[in-house]
Amino acid sequence: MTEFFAAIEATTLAEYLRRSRWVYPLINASHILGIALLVGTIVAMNLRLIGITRLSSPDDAIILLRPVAIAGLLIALITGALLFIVQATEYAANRWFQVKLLLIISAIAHAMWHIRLPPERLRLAATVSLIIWPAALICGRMIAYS
Amino acid sequence: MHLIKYAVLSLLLAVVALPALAHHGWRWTDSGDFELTGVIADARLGNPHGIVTITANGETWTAEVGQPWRNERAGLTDAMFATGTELTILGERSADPAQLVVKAEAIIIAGETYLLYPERM
Repeated sequence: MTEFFAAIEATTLAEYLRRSRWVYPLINASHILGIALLVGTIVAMNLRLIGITRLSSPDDAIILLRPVAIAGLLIALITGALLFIVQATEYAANRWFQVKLLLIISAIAHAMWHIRLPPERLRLAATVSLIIWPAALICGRMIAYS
Repeated sequence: MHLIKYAVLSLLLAVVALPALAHHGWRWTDSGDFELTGVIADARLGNPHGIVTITANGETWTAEVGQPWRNERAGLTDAMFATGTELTILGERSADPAQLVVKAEAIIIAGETYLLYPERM
């Protein structure tokens, strides 16, 4: 496994990203943008589903916010993969990173599990989602401080 | 209902209140002048941080050097950070004396001074 991560790190793309002046920070910024779109819309959508906010119908909230959340997730996943390959061995061994990945996988699985349910059956799921995604965000930020 | 409201609010506050730990910039350093001379044990250059491990007086230090563009501008190449090279780091050390970490403002190798942060010198 370590060899696999070392091989990823040795790719031309990873080497290019390690050396780039602007591309790496821009990918970094795009990763934050993806997270902002994802977590921002998740919070707004879930507050509506739980019933804390009341503006618009729950269905409208989902129609409006879910596509943005999915777009944010895709941006975060793609840019996250690019950031990962730059220091793959280090990140893979990092406890915060490992917990973050587990949280993201759980959150995606949890979302897919509930995606077809009507809003009135989503209150508990919305509360769970409101905890897992920000928790993943916190673990992500902590990678830099461990 | 109120319980959920407070739970959500406290979660959001917890995110905001996370302590701003040292990492980027100079806020985590002691803003003094620090000089460290030793031998390179390991170098990991490139984004997001250039990290050089230095053995000095039996201690193992971590020196943060520049990103690739900053090292290049100073006239430094990756090859100059070869293991076993003696060098002097001029910079600021961590404000926490227990941490053997220094952020380089300039690097001296073989009598030649390379300025990473000319505006700070």
